[in-house]
Amino acid sequence: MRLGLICLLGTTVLVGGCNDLPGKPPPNPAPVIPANTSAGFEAIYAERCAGCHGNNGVLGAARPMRDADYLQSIPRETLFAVTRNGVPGTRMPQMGGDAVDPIPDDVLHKFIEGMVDTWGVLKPGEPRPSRGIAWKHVPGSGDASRGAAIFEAKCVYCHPAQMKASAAYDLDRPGTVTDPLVVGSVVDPFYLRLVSDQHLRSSVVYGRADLGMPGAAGPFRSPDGKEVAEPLDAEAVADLVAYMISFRDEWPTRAEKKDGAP
Amino acid sequence: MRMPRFLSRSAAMIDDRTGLITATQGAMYHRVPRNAKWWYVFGSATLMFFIIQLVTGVLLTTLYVPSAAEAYSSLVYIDEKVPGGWMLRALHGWSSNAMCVMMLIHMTQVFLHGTYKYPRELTWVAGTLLCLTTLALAFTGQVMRWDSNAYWGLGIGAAIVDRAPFIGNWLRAIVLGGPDISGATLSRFFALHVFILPGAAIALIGLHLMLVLKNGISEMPKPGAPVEPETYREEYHARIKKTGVPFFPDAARRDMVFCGAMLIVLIGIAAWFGPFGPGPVPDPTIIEVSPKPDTLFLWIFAVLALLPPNTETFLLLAGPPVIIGFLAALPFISPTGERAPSRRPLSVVILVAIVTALGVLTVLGEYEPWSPRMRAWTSDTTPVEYVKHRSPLELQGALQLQYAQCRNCHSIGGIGGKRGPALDAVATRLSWDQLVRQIQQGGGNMPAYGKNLSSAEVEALVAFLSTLDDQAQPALIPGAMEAQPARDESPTVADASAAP
Ligand code: HEC
Ligand code: HEC
Ligand code: HEC
Repeated sequence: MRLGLICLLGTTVLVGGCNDLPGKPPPNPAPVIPANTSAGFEAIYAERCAGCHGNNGVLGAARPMRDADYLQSIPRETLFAVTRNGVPGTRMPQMGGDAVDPIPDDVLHKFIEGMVDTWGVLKPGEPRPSRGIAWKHVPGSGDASRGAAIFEAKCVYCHPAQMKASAAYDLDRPGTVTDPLVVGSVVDPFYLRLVSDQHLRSSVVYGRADLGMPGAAGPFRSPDGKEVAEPLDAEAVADLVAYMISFRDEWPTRAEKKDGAP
Repeated sequence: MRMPRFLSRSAAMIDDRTGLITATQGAMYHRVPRNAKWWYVFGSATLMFFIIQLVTGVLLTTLYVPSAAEAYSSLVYIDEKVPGGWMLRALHGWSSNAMCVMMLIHMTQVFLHGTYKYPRELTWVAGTLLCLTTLALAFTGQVMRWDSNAYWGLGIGAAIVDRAPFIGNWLRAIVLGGPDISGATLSRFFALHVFILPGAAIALIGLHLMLVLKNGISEMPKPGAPVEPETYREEYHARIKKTGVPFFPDAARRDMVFCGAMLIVLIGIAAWFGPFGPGPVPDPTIIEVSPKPDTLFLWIFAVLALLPPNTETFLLLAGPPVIIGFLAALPFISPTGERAPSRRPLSVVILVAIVTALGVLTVLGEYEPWSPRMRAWTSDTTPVEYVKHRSPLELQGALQLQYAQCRNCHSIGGIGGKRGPALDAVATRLSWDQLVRQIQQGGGNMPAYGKNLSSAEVEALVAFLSTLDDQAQPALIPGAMEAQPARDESPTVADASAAP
């Protein structure tokens, strides 16, 4: 009798108290943090973008997303479309739509919202590297020969076609340069085949503050490494992009196999 | 205390017609050796856990929906909506593990004490079959969760089966109920898990216990007292008669204390750690999970990753039959002779080797990310030092390394897969040409990317890889880390212009 009572009591406690025991599984599926909050968007960013665009939005191999000037200039719809559909022919993958393991459109909208609201806040009075020059690349715009002159005057020190051609090339230690901002060619046909025209424009307009690439506001460098303060205007940007693009198919002339996912 | 008359009368009547009560009493009061101390509790504990499995299992079948569409949600339902439901799942899951552990300890003890020798050979064989049944129950049980880990467990199983020469595909279809893992697979495993295997286990346990009763519980082995079939039985019975004690209550007391303690531990663990899974929802189109089998089977995982590829198939197919055959044949290999471990050094060495190997493999399976992490390419960042001071082309190479999912197999900065070598110092080992060749032609366990990457992509990859010199370590081979060749001298281009 007593045993029965104890058993009954035990079972009741076990079943009744179940909800307070530590082993009770957390709700499944786990509650989602809305993607338009900063925690929510950062979680998605860390899973889906950080590998290329960098931890916390900077210092990745692809352009930084933690760039208020940039995020403010691109319409949200465009940001959404680029992220959803990727940039064909480049290493920017399709993230929504019929991609494998897509981010659903509604989540992606909120994600963009979260990203722009968190990283896209311009501090009042902060200078804009882009000087307000539009993000969008217009195909066919610009003049390559004018671009060549600007490039020669402002860019070639940091972006020599061959490292040896840079004024910063260190003759005492072959293969190295004295200035860490001298990084190498942007007119290498192989490089150009891997990036879109838009990427070239975005790079010139907004720069890459995290790696030391100046935006349209400068300052740039003269061929011998002196600072050149004079900024770029919208026309100069288009000319520079046209100049760089002109090298893309220069060599080898054979049609390149279409890039694609492996 | 005296029974009321009508009770004792009906008991006598039942016993007269069935013999059940006499048999039970026989079992309860049969004499066992006096020195059968705590060593002998593990078998009983295994049985207790099996009974817990039966009870919780039957309760779970009343709640579980064995259909591919609903299995997962029914588990969530049990966890969240059924009062005490999660506890039921936790008990079932943990008790399954406990049963396997107890069983393995029991087997170890029997092996160590040479108990399988004459006249208990068949008891051991039945035990071996029980061991297989129990492991099969554990495996099929993990499939019942029908989460992505279940997929993985099945995936490994199917892959092993698939390797069988000639009949591989056919066997696979039998196991999975079709060419692929599907709803039919779940039905099949459900039938195995709740009918066939428990049925087999009950029958085998019956046989096992019957044999235990028939041959008596063995004494503790004494060095210098070898088993001689001609005289063993007689001497055993004589000794037991003289010095033995009735199983109930003398020996049973220890069993009960131990089982009671185990039961409390089980409930504690179940309450504290909760049920197993369910892990991520299974979805064949989602490859981005890092699935992992239950701890019990982790060692298989490690073996699969560690076996040299050219021996894998042979060892996978030949291994299990050899091991099982050896276990079952053991009592016939050495049916007589010494039982004491101190006189059987070889057996002790074998045992230690097996236990160590399984332990190490389990730990490896636990800690090594053998399975590719499928979201690695978008989430594993390139180390910042590898991004700074890189040329635009090199940065494209870093991106290509992400994009082509090389990091599923290779790590840089300590993050990434472990199937291929870490690439942090690859520039010191391989020259530009060798890097190009490795990527285009593959080799070892690495796929050849020749057809899938354009020459610009290979060029960028190699440009990036050739900057990875592990903080300016010197080159290890001549030709490594020399300045990159001019574009028109690069082998990627030579290859490209040779191609039609
Ligand atoms: C102070 C040196 C400096 C100057 C001047 C400079 N850049 Fe850059 N540029 C950089 C650095 C640093 C990066 C970062 C990318 C890297 O490390 O390769 C970069 C990146 C770029 C990229 C993008 C590369 C990529 O990531 O795909 C382009 C395009 C580019 N620069 C074009 C130009 C043009 C056009 C000019 C002239 C208006 C210019 N740069 C002037 C230093 C400079
Ligand atoms: C596999 C690497 C990779 C991943 C992952 C990735 N990106 Fe990109 N992304 C790139 C590359 C490379 C480019 C430049 C493409 C080009 O040449 O135009 C790019 C370009 C972009 C651009 C356009 C930049 C411009 O030119 O103005 C946006 C916006 C962008 N990515 C957003 C995202 C977001 C948001 C995510 C995460 C959901 C993400 N990317 C994930 C590689 C990646
Ligand atoms: C399926 C897994 C896998 C993938 C994916 C993979 N590799 Fe490998 N890789 C290996 C293995 C395994 C080896 C060792 C080959 C050997 O033993 O010869 C290796 C070797 C290498 C080596 C030579 C390393 C050395 O130190 O000898 C390089 C370089 C390399 N891989 C680059 C890449 C690149 C670039 C990619 C992406 C395009 C890639 N791998 C994708 C598995 C992989």
